[in-house]
Formats: sequence, structure tokens, C-alpha cells
Amino acid sequence: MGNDGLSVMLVDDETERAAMVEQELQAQGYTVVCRLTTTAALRHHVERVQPDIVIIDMDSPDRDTLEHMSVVNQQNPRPIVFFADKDDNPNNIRAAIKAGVSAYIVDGLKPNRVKPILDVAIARFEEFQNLRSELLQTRTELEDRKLIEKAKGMLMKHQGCDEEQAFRTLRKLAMDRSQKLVDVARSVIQVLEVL
Amino acid sequence: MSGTGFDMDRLVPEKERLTLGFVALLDSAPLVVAREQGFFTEQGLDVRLQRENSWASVRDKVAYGLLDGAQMIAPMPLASSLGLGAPPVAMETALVMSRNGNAITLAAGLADAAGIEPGEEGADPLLSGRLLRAHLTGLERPLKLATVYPYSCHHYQLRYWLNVSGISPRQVEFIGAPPKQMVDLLASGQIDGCCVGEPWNSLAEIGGVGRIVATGHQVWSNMMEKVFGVTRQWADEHPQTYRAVLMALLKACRWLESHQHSESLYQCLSLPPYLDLEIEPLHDRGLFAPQLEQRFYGADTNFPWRSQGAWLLGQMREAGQWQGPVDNPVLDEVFNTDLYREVAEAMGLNAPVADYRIEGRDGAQSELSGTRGVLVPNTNDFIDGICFGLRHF
Repeated sequence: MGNDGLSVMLVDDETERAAMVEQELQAQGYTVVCRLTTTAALRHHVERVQPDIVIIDMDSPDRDTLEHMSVVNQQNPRPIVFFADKDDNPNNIRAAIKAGVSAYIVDGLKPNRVKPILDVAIARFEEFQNLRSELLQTRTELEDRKLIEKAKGMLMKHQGCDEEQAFRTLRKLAMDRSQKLVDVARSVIQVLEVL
Repeated sequence: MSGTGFDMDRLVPEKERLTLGFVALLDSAPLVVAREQGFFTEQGLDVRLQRENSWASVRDKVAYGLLDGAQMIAPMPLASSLGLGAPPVAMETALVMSRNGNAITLAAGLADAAGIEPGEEGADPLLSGRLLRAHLTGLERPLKLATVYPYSCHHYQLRYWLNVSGISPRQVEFIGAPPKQMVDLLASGQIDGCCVGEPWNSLAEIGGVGRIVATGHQVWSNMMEKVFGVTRQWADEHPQTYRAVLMALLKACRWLESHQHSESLYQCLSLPPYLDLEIEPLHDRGLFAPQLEQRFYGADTNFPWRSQGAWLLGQMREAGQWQGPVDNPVLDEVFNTDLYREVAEAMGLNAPVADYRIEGRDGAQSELSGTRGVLVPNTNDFIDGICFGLRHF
């Protein structure tokens, strides 16, 4: 590890994710020369900054711009090519693609010098993916709980029962209909709102 | 022809749930139609269409199995098999999904300054080329022209037109940009022109920022544009699924022949996952600009001519992307003409018997021998009237 003298450009419109990658790369002694959140001026920045490696979101529309540059620049001193060397392990590439990482390196850079940087990017991209799906799940759970609370409240008002009885009614309905509690809550709300 | 022994009326897909990639362009229509009009379902397939933002990601996701197959620009299976621009992954196509549909659009201000005006039938590409060349002599900077991808029909069509117009590649700075950005790049003066697929040329014209000065159809009237591409490995592992997908897509192409200008196609394409509101300005004037001659079906439209693959290889060499011979055995592997014939036969369609022919007006016969009798092919003219053929004819 340590500063390998390589400069890295990050292109990612997820600012949080880009920050995570940058932080770790810097902690490992790499230089992050540029972090772009919008890719509109990508061509200009690559020409100006001349990074050794560009890490870019797999789904960025500007990847084709980079690929074009790599072809045109073959005659120039700083060509940029897709990271995977012919003898690189296809599983590594698959992991990168799955995580949404794509990368370009200057010609002649040995894959073993690039790999640690890619590993950081892949790990952070995966972590971000997990965080986001956890967040999504938490949000759904919260929504569900709100619906159940609302249905309970409406039942209490409608049937003049207490909270526990209302909850038991919901649970019984769910069991009878083999539905999820939240789905029963939703239909109870629909019915009672109409009344 | 069908030596594989599959019962084409009763294919049993090895895999039913598929994810196929597409890029939001008008010529994604065969995939969209195959899904929305139920042709995939008819074949026992449950297909999810995944919108991709770049050709690079289409290539990578197909190459590493994250997509089962995809709409590809015609040179992609070839470039990928040869390892151009990325590690080599053997890919193939058995179906051309569309022909033509690209155009060369210049910034409106530049077209005005050069005196290029659209005629009744669109611009005269040779005249507009001459006018542009004359205008360039007074210009002190290189012309900045954008295409969508280095290994694309767009790139080769643009270079071909420049060459015929006597404009040297040295007078031009080629850049790459996503189709969706072209209109903005023209409007903000960051590029002088572009070669891009539809609807982006029409949208630039409607928005008053660009003028179509030549169409792909005028450069070569029978250019294969989008193909359905898969990896060799996927094709080998899913022979029946592959055939079922091809049947569904060819049926969609046939449907398009009579519905290309229909409201139902517009409704399909304007759904959010596809082109969305992007195409709204085209609603009243029609999706397909007539002078672009975008074609999805009929005659030899869907046939993956190996000789046209050879032409693509020749263009790659012209552009300095490929140094090997144009007469290359890889063509026989990439353009799966036998499989096309098998699928066509199952649908009762005529298909060319030959894999190679001489391309261009003088070489092209007005009648070809087909698997089901005489076949009258599409017109096949190059802008400079040349013929293109390989030695072994």
C-alpha cells in the first residue's frame, strides 16, 4: 500500500459514494486529483488533469465519451483504456460491473498497480448499495408501521375498543385471509374511510 | 438448413426470464414492440427490458452476463469479438433489427454560414459537403464533430461523408458524446455538428439548433444499424431461448412494417421506461423523418450479410482502429446467417442463400436467389457509386 504515485479521477453523481471512495483512497495514500459529480465537462477535465486512472459509475452516459477519447488518443502520449487487461480474472471484472464500477487507465499501467484502487472502489460501491437498500427497507418498515397505527386508530374509534383489541382484530383478519398485517391495515383504512 | 433439430413451433426455452438491454432511440422499437405487443410472451418468454445509458455498458453487461442480450450498434459484436476497445469476448448476431436512421446534423448557424439549405427531399449530401469544405478554408480552427461511439455506424458514416466531400480527417476534431446530449451540445456551441440516430436529429431541427445536411441512407442506402447481439457462450448455452427471442423480434419487426407510423407505436415508445416524453415534439409530424428511410422489415432488411460486416471491418481499418485483413474468418463467426435462415424458414419467410455479395449498386443484382425463391433486395447504393467486395467472390 501507500502512495503509489498514481493519480485518480472519480466520476460519480452520487456525492456521498464518491466521498466514501475518495476518503479511503486518500487514507491509503493515493492522490484523488479530481472528483466530478456532473460529467458534462468530463472531456475537458480529463485533458487538463491527465489522471492515471478514471473511476466512473458504470451507468454514466459519459462512458462512451471516455471510450471515444481512448481511441482517438492512441496516437497521443496519454491513452486511456478499459481497465481489464487481457489476462485479468473475469470474476474481478464481473464483481466490478455488478457493483457499478467501471475504470479506465493510461496505457502501460500494470493491472497489479491498479487492482488495490479498484478494490477500494468496488468495496465502497457495494457498501453504498447495501446502505441504500437498508435505507429503503427502513423507510418501507416505517411506512408500514404508520399504516398499521392508522388502521388501529380507526378501528378503536369505529368499534369503541382499546388499542390491544384493535390490534388483535387486525391480526385475526390477517391470519384469516393469510395476508400481511400491512395489507389488512390498508384495506381496513379503505373501508372505514368510505363509511 | 435447420440441422439443429429443434422444433421451431414448440421451442422449450432453457431460461424463461430474460433481461435484455436497450438504448433509448427510435430503433429500439423492435424490442419494445416484442414486449408490449406480447411477441415475447407468445414464445413463452418473460422479458424485462433494461434501459442502458451508454454503448459501453451494453457491451460490458452482455459480455459478463448481466444482460442476456441487447440491442447493439451493428459493429459491436465484431469489435467485441476482435477485442477492440475492450478485452475480446466472442459475440454474434443473427438478426439485423433496423437499417438506416442516422443523420449528419450541423449546427444551424454553421449551416447558414456555409450556405447549406434543406431541399424539398432533404439536403443534397454532396452539395452540402462541398459547401462545408469551401466554408472550412476560411475557418481557423478544426471542425468539432461528435459521434456516439468510436465503433459505430455513425462514426463511419460521418468519416465516409467527409471523405467524399474532400474534407480531411485532419481538419476535424472527433469527439464522443451520448445521443441525448447532442441537442444541448449543438445549442451551446460546444460542437459544430454530429452524426447521431433518431429522434435526436429531428429534435435538433425542430428546436432550431441544427440542420440535417446528409442522412446515413444517402451515404449508403442499406446500412445495417442495430442488431440483436449475444455472447457466443450464451448462444451455445441457450439454443432454444435464443431461437425464441429471435422469432419474437422478427415478428415485432414484421408488425412494425405496417405500424411504423401508428399511434399505437407512439404510445408504446412514449412509455416512461423507453423514450418517455422525449418524443413528444415528434407526435404531430410523425416519429420517422421520411428522408432517413429507417427500415425494420422486408426484403433482406433483417439478414446479417457477412459482406456488410466486411465493409464495417474496412471502415475500422480506414479509421485506424483495426490493422488486420478485411477478409477475415471472424466474419463467419460473428454474423450467424445460418441461424437467421432457420428462424426465417420457421416463419415462412424468404432469405438470401448467399452469405457474401458485392455491395453497391453496380455489383448488386436486382434479384437474388433466396431459400424460398427469387428475392428482390433493398436498394444498395453508396454515395460515391463504388462497389465493395472481397476477393473470394
